[in-house]
Amino acid sequence: MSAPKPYANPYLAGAGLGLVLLAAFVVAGRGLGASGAFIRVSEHLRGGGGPWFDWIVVEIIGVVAGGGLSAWLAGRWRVAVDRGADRSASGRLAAAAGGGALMGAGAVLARGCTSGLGLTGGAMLSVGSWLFIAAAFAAGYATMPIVRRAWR
Amino acid sequence: MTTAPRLAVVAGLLGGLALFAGSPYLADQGRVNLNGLAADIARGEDRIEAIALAGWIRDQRPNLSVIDLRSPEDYAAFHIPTAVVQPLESTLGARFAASDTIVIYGDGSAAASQAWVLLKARTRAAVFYLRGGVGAWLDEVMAPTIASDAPAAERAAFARISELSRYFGGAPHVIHPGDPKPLSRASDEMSRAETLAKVARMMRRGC
Amino acid sequence: MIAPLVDAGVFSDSASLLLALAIGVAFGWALERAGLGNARKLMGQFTLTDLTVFKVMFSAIVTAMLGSFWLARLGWLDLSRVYVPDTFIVPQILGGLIFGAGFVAGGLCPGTSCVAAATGRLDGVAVIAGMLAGVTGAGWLLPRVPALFDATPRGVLTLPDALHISYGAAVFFVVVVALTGFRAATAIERSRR
Repeated sequence: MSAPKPYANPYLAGAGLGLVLLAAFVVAGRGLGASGAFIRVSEHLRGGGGPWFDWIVVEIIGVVAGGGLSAWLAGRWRVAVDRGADRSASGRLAAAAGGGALMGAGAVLARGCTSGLGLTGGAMLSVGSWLFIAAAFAAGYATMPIVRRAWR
Repeated sequence: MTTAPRLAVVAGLLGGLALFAGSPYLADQGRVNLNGLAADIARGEDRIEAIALAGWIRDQRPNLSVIDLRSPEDYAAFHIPTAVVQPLESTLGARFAASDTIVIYGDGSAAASQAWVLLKARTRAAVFYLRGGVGAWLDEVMAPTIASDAPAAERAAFARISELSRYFGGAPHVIHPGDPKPLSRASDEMSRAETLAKVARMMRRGC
Repeated sequence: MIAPLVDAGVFSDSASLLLALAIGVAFGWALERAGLGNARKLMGQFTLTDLTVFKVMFSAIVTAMLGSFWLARLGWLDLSRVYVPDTFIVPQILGGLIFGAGFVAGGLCPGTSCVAAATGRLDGVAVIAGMLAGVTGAGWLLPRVPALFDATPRGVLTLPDALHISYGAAVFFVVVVALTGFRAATAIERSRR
């Protein structure tokens, strides 16, 4: 089995991502999002109304398809638990779920996440989005020393 | 890695040019997005119903401006609470912020919907006209009615409408099968005389 | 005909859903190609060993920002009809802090967790599950605390409006910040090697 292909240049990948975001502006007048899809799914599971195939839910399905396809073609597809060298899989999974819960709460409070506010709001120069980006990065750097051992 | 640095140069150039480029907004460029306006009209997103406006006013929707396009005399006789009177020309000349919500209304004639097109073409703010004008407010907010044999869902909706109506001093009432039918109006447009008569009836009701 | 194209009658609602799918596929593809479907690589950002997150994010922001500015300046895109996320000052700062802490604890963000899960990573699935729980809990609780949830709303508030500068000046400023950041990122990564 051949080794997985190396990752792409981050600036090129970012520029490509920016063109995708621009395409969303031009075609649909809206940007990318992720946490919104989680909110829609949560509402539906609790019996809320509205169509299942909302724009953002369809988009997230695309993200799953695109990510999976890219990994498979690059030889990077495998079942695994990405974690630090001396971390147990179960410890990692528990932390992942906990982190996910915090992100879910933060995203509801802020009305978005790194995709909806960071990328879309960032490109559209929204003040609240830039405040979110700054706060998220600041909190990330502040929190890393606490969980640092998990990522060595 | 020669592509990334080149991209950086392009970004720097485009960013630097942006400093001298002028506004990216069509309204500032004197251009009009006709298909966008047409899409709003087709989707009914150019107008608002009286009851919805009543909810916005009661809930103190942020940055809401209600503008009465009629004459000062008509405004003095009756106007929607929180509305200011401002003729179309000076409304078109006013500056609004992108986060503002503007609701314009008239006597129910086409003037308000025409004003919507003109105003929407030159501001980034959200603009709506009141469907049915001041007459719709007098009918649907100040004197909403429901048939006595209406189904439960309609009655539940009417309960919410009645609450809003009473907030503004209105008088919701139930229509029974034997009641005389109200005169139907041929169009939404209400003459000045009709408005005054309606307002007079409304005033006589109080304590 | 002026963009956004959905307002120009070019696309039906079902066609725009197909485009949502295509856009999503490209989004997921770009994230995976950059390696952002891997939690260890993502966390390199916060250990200052691998600043890929910053490079990808800000390259994307600058590209879309310059693209939308110039298309609009040329009159081909109606910028006022492109969705700008509303500004809620306190909720978005506080939400950002909570989100950032969760990001570092979980190792993936909402979008990248979907990419990770799509590539077989079980930690991606765990983040997704946690997110659904967090979104559900907060979705129940926060509307009951409007003093916090709805605090300091500012509607559509852009940097040029808030700072009283031209849109182009704000664009230039963001480009300068990004390019400076990229320079700094290279220096930081080199010093950690």
